[in-house]
Amino acid sequence: MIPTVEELKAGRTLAEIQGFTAEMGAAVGSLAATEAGSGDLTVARAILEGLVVTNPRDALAWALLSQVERRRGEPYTALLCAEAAARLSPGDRQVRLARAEALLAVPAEAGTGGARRREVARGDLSDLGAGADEVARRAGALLRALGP
Amino acid sequence: MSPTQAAPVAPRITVPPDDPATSDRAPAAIRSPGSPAVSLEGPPGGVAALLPWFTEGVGATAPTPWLVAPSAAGKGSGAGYAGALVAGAASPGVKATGDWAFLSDPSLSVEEKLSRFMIAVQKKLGDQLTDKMNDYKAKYGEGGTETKEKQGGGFLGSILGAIFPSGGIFDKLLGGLEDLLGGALKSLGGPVLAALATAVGLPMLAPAALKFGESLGGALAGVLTGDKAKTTTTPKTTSKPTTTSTPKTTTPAKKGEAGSPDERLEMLEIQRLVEKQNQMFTLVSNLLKSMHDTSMVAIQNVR
Repeated sequence: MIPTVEELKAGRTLAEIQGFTAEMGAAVGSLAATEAGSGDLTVARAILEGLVVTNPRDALAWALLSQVERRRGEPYTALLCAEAAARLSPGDRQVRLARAEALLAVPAEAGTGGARRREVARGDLSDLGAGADEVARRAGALLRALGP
Repeated sequence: MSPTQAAPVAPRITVPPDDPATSDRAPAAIRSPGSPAVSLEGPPGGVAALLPWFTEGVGATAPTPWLVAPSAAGKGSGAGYAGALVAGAASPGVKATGDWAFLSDPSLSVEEKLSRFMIAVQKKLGDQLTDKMNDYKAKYGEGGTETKEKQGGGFLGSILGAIFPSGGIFDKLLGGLEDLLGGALKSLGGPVLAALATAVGLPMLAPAALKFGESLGGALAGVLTGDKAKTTTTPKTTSKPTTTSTPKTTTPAKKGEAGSPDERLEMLEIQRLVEKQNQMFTLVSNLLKSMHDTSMVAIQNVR
């Protein structure tokens, strides 16, 4: 079913219109993560772009897309995607990790807030460091890399 | 029924119009002048038994049209011919109020309704087609690029403002990166840009982003590449423009727009409307043909 302009303006997503469930979204996201993990960033990006177009309110899809863009060497696009994810789900640990990584990926020399970006990212990572999940491990590793 | 319409029927009926009882029997006798007259009211098992369809109208109060007396033609059988010959003339008692009022007009034949239906649908499709062509002209015709740039700049600024509100922490974190972030926004492409607008709470900008996103990326690539090359100093980012944006700038905007997906989509939409018109013609033509064939079969059977 093709959505109408009115439906798009009303904020209805393709996923809602087409009956695309959250489980299906999670499965597609996992596939993209697997592709990104195996190094095929182009495919991962294509999958995730399709996912965010299908459901623009999927914070994790935006976070994953942010990570893929960052690994592709597009720090500003990654930052945009991470901010979109943070808007949708500000408390999500994975989203916060993606946002911190995106902030750190912006070159320190670019703009006027290099040092401040680093501090904000460090603060986010410190909060995420507690725990034993993958996010905590990754946050801990980044903190160690940043140094005191 | 007008006199001209009644003329072809009249020669076959030689019985005075004011004698319906005899007029029913007369045609059979006339058609076979050399043979004994065949009475349709003869004994059971005669013509009536062999040709039940033939006697059906004769015995009834409303005879088959071609056997009817001219005086009776106006009331019973006129509807079919009247609509066809006086096309477009509405019955004085019927007041058409809407475009589709003719469908409920009892004075119109099916053929007439079909032809008016085709005209109404054709008009609607024609209007749609004209609108689409005007849209196309506005976007891809002369002066379209300027319009796009202005509109695109507006909604891109809105999206960027929604993601990074000015006057807050973002000014301190991302000061001086506005151009680069704007460039990244434009490079996202139409659908993802529309999704981003929806994600940051601006779904009303999604259609505009969808329409203009991709063409804007091409149209403004030259400006963006220049900005990136000037403002970024690290090896990581300086290498980026040469790999991603340079091909877009070699022949700017115009060439990219000519075959852009958005433009092709517009053309496909126009093509779809034209095909719809053709389908409508074919449909009505087939309907009229089948109705004509049905009538012809009945006439052949009578002969």
